[in-house]
Amino acid sequence: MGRHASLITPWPGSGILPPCHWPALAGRTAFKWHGGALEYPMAAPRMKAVRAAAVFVAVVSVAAMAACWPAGAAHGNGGDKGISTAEPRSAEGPPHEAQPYLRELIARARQHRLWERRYWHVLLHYKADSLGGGVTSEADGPGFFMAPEGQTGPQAELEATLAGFFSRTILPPGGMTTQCTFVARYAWLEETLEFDPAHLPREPCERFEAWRGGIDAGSVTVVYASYFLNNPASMFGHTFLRMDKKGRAESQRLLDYSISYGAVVPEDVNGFMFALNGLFGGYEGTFSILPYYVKVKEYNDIDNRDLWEYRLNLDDAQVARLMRHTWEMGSTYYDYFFFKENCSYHILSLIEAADPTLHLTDEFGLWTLPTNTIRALLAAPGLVDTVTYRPSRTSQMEQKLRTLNARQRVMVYDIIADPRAAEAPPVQELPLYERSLVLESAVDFHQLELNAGEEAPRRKAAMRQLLLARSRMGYRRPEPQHRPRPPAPESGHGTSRVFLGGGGDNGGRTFYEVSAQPAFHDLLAREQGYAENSQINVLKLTLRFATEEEQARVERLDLVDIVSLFPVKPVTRQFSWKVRAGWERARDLDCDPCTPFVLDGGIGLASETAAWRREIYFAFLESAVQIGGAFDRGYRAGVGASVGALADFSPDWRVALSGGQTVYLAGDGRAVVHRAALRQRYSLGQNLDLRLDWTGVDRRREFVFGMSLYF
Amino acid sequence: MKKSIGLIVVLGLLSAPAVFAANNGSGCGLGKTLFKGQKGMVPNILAAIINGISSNNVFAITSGTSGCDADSVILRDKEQEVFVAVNLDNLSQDMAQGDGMYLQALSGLMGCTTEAFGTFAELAQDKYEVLFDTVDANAAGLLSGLKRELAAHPMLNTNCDRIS
Repeated sequence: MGRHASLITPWPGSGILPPCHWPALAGRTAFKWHGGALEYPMAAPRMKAVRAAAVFVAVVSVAAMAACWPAGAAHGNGGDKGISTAEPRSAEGPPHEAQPYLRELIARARQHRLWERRYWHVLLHYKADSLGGGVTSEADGPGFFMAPEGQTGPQAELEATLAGFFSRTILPPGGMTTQCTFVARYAWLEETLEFDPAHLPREPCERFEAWRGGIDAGSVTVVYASYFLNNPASMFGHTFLRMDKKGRAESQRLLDYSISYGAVVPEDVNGFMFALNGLFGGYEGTFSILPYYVKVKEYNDIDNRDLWEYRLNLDDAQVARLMRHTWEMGSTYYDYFFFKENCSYHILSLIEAADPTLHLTDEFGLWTLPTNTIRALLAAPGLVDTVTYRPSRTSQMEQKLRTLNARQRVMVYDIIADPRAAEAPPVQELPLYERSLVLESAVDFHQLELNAGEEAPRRKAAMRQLLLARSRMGYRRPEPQHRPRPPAPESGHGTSRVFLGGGGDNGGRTFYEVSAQPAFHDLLAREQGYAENSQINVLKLTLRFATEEEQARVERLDLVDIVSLFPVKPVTRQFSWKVRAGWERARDLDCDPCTPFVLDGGIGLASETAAWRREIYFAFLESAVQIGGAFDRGYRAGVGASVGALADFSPDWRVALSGGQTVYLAGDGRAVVHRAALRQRYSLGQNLDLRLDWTGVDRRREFVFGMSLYF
Repeated sequence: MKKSIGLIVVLGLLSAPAVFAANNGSGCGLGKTLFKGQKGMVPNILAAIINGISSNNVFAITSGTSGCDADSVILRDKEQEVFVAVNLDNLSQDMAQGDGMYLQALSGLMGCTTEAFGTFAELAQDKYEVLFDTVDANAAGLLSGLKRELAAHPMLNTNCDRIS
């Protein structure tokens, strides 16, 4: 949660730091020495000495911190790790006697204990610590805090902020005074304490006013970018805000400004470090402001993700508060944590700043999934006004193709292959409506290919020819009365799942099986609201209790288990792929139970038919690695293949059949493993389904029957 | 491809240095993070389960502070230019079709009334060949050409007030 010791350089002339910070400072310095000694080449004996010294200092400082902790906690009220009755610190140094009004404001603030008010905590992003009675701010940039202990001391922060209002000192990193950096704090404190302008003049904050006027927000919309599995980084969706300008026509929303939170990622980062840093707060996240058309281009066109726009019912005062707080956000960064403090989480925190009666972030403890933040918004009574769907480029093209009949679709493919077909009879003879769709579909396809970075000159020339033909039609296609809309993201099953069931195997054993996962969706689950033909299981734990052994065993722990099937279509050809990492009980080894670590990957093809309702067929080439003590060499690795099919026999009933073979070549000696599975799901509701699985590995066969509950 | 789009936008904007609200702009943030859209499955899979990372942080401009001088609001007299530069391909399609949200937004940027949009769109479609006279038509050319056409149009030159 970004809660490292806030080791901010003390403000000049501020005096002694509170007790616990010295050991923390020493400890961190020791850590740096230790790390530095490893980094920089030094003569070995000297390196050892430096490291020994570092370890010694670290040990002493940890002991000192442990000793001072109770003393630190005893200080102050409400978890203030700091001196609560001392003079407030201003940006310039010790307070002047010549500011009796400041003393008066502080006295009044203390009388009302303003630092305990919810709005102060919302503005400073304080969250209750899990241990101890204190709070810590989620903001990690030191520029956000006026007081040295501001990250953990609401009272000190409030008083230092008040003091700062009197000062003309320019604050880094924004280059503005306190009043103009922290405009939301100023507005709230001014209103609550009723500042007297004669004693505390209000500064004209021209930069803020220019920015606010340029955006001129009349209302706020939360935009959700849905999943597209071709880019794994977008598997869970994304949310950001759009500030809708007053008086602007709905058809011109592209021109509005959007506010989005994301991590600043260096250019040449390798995938593994990217994942590691993103998961554990290694990147700084900031808010960025871009015209909405840039985001639409990024999501609709390049990433091929649908956008859903949820307009919020916020009044002018609330929108103004949100704008002010967004400005304040420029002064800091937050350590970006993929699981919890991600884009959607911070968007919710901005909405709380608009309306502090909303408690949106409270329900997100360990992880925040974007769809769940949308659900939180929808659950707040009257918060969401209208929902608008903005299809991706792919969705638009597919919608056009669906409107055409098969013969016309063939014309599209012909035109894609050769644009001159657009001028030739079959196309030229089509009525205007269909002809426009045919030409535009071909253009969409070329644009998609261009966006994916392929074959520029030939495609551009082809596109131009088609667009010329289209323009020469002199025809504007009327909007369809009813635009079809896919199921909204919040209409899907809950993102967490618990499974309860039991089964038996052909060795006569019976067992109960329980599994749980915080996220997300598997191939057999009901697809409504999720990306089609996809599976993402994160941290899925499966336990079995064998009835005779009276002991629970880990059957499987999937760290990640992702399958993305992309049925090959005439206009889109992509590989399907899958990857899995985790532990699984091996059923083909002599040791049993043993649960080696498993790393699988596969690449393949899929296709879709509509013989009954909808069927998907797939075939994969796979690699498999297993690591564990069960193997003489500690591991085995091999390659394999699998085929399978998914079929929907009714809207509620889905069946999956698959089979495969893996040949292990490296490591432990040759082995061939065969697998087969028949899995079925029957939905009983949005969040409930029944499962029946028959699986076999070599000669072991078993079945599991049970119920999944989503929440 | 994200990188290419980012580069196009960055280069376009760098050629108009005072795009963002006036400050002694270090123009910081421009190109600060061009996330390299790593092609290939393996880096993508590893990067997989991280979302919300703005992969197109072309500007990475914050609300004005954090050591960055630019304030993210595009100067009024550059709005049209930036919009057309970023959305050239979408605009070309909308203009050929005689409709579309990019065309609507452009008409708004030209200061046209909403009632005049139908005529605006017709003109755009009619003059498509002239406005996109080469395969590599660029934003500046399109913008000046369109303004010329609007100025010459009897109805639109009075219903659109940002065409000079």
